[in-house]
Amino acid sequence: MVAPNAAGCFWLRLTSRSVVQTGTNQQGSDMEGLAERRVFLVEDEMLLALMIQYSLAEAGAQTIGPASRLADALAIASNPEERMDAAILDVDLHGQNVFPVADALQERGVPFLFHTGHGTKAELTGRYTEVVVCSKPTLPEDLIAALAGLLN
Amino acid sequence: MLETLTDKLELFKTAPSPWLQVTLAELRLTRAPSRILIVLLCAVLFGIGVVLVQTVSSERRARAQVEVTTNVLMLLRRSLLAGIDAETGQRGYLLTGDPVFLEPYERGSDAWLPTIAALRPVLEDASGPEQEIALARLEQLATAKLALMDQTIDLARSGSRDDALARLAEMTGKLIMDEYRATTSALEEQQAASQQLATDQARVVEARAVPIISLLGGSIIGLIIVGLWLERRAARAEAAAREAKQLRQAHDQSRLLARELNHRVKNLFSVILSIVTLSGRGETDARRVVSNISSRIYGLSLAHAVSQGQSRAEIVQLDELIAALLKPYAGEQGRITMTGEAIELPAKAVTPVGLIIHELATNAVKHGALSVGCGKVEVRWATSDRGDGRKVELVWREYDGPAVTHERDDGFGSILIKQATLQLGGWIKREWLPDGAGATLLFPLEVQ
Repeated sequence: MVAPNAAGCFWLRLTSRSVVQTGTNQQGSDMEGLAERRVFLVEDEMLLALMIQYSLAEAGAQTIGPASRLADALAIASNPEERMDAAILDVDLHGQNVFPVADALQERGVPFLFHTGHGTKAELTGRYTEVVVCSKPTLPEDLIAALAGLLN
Repeated sequence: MLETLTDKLELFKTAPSPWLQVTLAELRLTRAPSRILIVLLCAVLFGIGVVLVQTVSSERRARAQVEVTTNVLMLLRRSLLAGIDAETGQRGYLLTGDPVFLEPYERGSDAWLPTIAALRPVLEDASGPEQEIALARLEQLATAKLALMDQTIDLARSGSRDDALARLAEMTGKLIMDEYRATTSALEEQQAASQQLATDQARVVEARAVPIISLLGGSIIGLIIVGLWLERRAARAEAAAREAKQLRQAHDQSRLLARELNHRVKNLFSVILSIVTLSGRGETDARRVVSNISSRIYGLSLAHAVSQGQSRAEIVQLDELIAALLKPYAGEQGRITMTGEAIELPAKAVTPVGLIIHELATNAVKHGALSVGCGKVEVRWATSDRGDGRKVELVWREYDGPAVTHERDDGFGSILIKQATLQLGGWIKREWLPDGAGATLLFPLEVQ
């Protein structure tokens, strides 16, 4: 049921219903296939957000955000004008749960992964089937690989 | 490692404490016997009541029998005396002809039958059929004797005294009186026997009641002792349950603390990972990168050491935090001055505030006031509230240092300060003045 992949993140397969949409394009010459992709970043630890932002930039992706507060994140997630290909969601935002944002993304069909310091995998998979959960701390390259897995 | 710790703690949470349940079961057990005890006590008291009522009623019966017997004996004797009076009067009159003897004769004959009649209601309650027969016989005999005596008196009155004496010599009257005496004696004996029987019965009941009452009294004492013992046991079980509850609360508390600590450690590792990754960016000199990284991690460790000594895990004193961070650079007395009110910072502000103070201090040591012998640093802080929540204003000012140049905005130190300020939800103004650098940090006390 739970199998760690090379990236150190966990792919959780519980039901056949998938929230993860496989990406259509394999364009670009980059290894991860993240070039020109727009990634929505929700993270309340600003240094971590900065590190992920740099890593995304190195992979050729563009960061939307980072949003550190639930209200800001929700405003971006539910704005149809804001085009996005994937999202990295921190679960606990200054004591508030990121789930409304995840729900909005699910509705839009935007694939996302959880990047969390809380030991709540069971809770997350109970709510979001087959979601990818990366436990904090995760190496930036592992996070990028997990994100690439989400898109391809 | 931390994952397994958390999992173990989760296991603790789901498994209920087994000995707590045992204590509760014991509590339930002690309640049932006390109910049985009360029922037993009631039964014993009821038994004592029954025995007492029996004893009292048998004694009352014996007393009533004594009364009846006394009455019966008195009336029997009185009736016999009436008969003897009448007979004595009759004989005196017949022998002397003196009418003075007629007085006792009249008195005796008048009283005789009423006295026997008076026996009937007394005997009615407490007599058998043979006593009824005896009583009827007494009436018959008295009536016959009276008729005989009347006859002789009448004969004597009419002048035939010799005929009357002849009738007397026939012995009929004597035989009647003999039988009367015998019947009376038999009745007396019967009465005495009934009285003896009732007294004996009362004695037997009483003799039986004494050991029964002692036994029941003893069992009451026993039940009270058992009750007291149960009461003590219940009290002990309750104390144990209370203790178990306190232990469970303490256990919950420590589990919560462990979770919080686990979360904090993970967070801190994330921050360290970011610092390590970001410190290397744009730097080519490996030694400088390593020195920068170790200095920053050291700063973080100083900041977090402060949060460990706090009475409450979720707050940190701002003055202690700043003092700890600046202690390595304090040098001689009066180089760094710190003034400000006591402010309790939420624990999550420790990392960003710690990073900012540490960056400002290392800058001062490298290029600022602390890089020369006479330079000074002043740190001031205060809280203010302009209607939008309590805010902390922290001012960093360097004096008597070399002229500082504007720091590169894209240097990681600068970025670190900006990100940490963002983390606090605050705002920072940095200045590069001719005699040293300055910074003013403003951030809300309740980081949302």
